[in-house]
Amino acid sequence: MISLLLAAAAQAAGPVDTPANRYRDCLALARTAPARAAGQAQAWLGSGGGMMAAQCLGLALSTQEKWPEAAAAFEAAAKDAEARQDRRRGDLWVEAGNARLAAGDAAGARRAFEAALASKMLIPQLEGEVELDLARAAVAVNDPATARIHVDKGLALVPKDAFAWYLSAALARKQNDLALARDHIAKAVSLAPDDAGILLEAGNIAGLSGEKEAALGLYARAARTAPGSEAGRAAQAAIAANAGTPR
Amino acid sequence: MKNRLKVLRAERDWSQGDLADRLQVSRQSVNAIETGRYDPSLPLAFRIASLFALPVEAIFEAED
Repeated sequence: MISLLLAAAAQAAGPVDTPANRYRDCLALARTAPARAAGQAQAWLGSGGGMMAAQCLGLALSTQEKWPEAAAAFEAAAKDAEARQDRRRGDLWVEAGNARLAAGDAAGARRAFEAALASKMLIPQLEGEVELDLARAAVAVNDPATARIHVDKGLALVPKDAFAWYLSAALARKQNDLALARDHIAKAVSLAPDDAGILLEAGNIAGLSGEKEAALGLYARAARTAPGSEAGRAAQAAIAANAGTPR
Repeated sequence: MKNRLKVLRAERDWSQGDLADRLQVSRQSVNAIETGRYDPSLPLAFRIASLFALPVEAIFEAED
């Protein structure tokens, strides 16, 4: 009888407010009302919510594109995960680094990505992606030599990622190594033949190599693939700029 | 364009790589969409919406 009464009381009290349930509810709110979710996550964090509260705060702030604040929240989550030796610490540092890059803080991004690699919790594929993230951070501070080191590490770990070859080709073009640029952009196009950004870069490299017909063909493909995108518009502008000039 | 991709991914405990595999795009593309550097093409936006069983406008929100 007593056990029946206890069971009834527990049912009347509703679902148990475990951290996992609270995290799930916080994410659901972040999807529909991110500002309210951020407020609740902040309060939860203040009352000792730790990694899950900080992660939800980071996600809610990311949805609002409040990147510096989101980065700080992900960093807090990553530090808490490190203190607990939680397996998610590497992923959280990656989230922090990408939020720092989105905020335009390349130095902060680099610190976060290096912490992600140091965590030794990343699978090889993600390790390769973090090398590409580090390359983007180096490009952002106009450090092509460091970017090249990270791109080469990324290419070794994620050779099937078209973006890795694209990034390498764009970097080579900027460093006037057109032979390498042509080779690597061809690999990117073969892996992602419908990516307007890659086709645009292929057009740029072909144009610089003196292959105007090929460049125009690649620009046309980029414009057809994604006419409303930034890359598609840039391709259309390149076609217009070349109109009437000798081939 | 703001979007809720990162939250939707977290709700399913997917990494960016997991989502990239499901969408058949690169992880850097997912990353670029999530951080607002790249607006997906219309077909990709519909693939994302279909994957999460949500209307496109529940995921992507045009900025003022």
